[in-house]
Amino acid sequence: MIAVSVSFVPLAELRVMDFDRRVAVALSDAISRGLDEIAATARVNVAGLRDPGRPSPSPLAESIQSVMNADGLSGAVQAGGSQAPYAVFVEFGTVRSPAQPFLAPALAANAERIRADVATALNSALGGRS
Amino acid sequence: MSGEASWALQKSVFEALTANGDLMASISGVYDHVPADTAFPYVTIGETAVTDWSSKTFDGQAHSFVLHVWSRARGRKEVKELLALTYDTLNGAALSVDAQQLVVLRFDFAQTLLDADGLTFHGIQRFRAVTRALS
Repeated sequence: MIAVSVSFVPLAELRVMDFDRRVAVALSDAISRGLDEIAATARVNVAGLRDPGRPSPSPLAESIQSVMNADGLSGAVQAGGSQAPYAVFVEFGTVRSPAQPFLAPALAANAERIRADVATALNSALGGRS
Repeated sequence: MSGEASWALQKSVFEALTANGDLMASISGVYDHVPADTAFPYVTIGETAVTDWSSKTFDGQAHSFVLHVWSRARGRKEVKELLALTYDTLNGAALSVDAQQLVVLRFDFAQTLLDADGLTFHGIQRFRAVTRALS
């Protein structure tokens, strides 16, 4: 199993313990949306790697899942497991075959949008409070 | 522009790694393209990604690049020692990059795994860098 993770790391002056329920839900929703976007991009990346002649669906693409952690402020996009145990060899390559990264580029492609979405959700939930 | 900064950074990374005598004494070489029948262990400069880091007043880029360490030693000791050498060479290094200011170069993550061939240990190390074009 390989994974990329997303976490909300609050500024020192913005303590998570001060969040009311509304803010926590908004943050959690934004992070969850971000993870889903990363997973969707990773599936598209896998589809791009796949020989068009091969039957669908791709076990590797189907193994890609977004998972929120119990804290509601972090999570990960995972790929591999028993469904596609070779996922790590696709992402990082082997001594005989080059890497064909699909997870790291998916994170990079969505990172700025996720940051912006989290900031918007936080500002909205705080109602202009800073 | 993006390609220029990425290649300039890769050249600087290559020069830094190959200037490390302890590293070079331990490996057969540092490669982008690996020649056939290259002796283990060796290091390859792998995948890179570049995103825009510009502002209204300067052109900048954020880079992510991966180093791979390949070892046929028994166990993970060799690959981890080599990863330590590449880490020491690059993490926080103030490299000179053509036509760029290297703002930061930092280690991001490392992983070791047994390759699909069941014989080769594969060390993976990712770094992040930020460059700013010198005008």
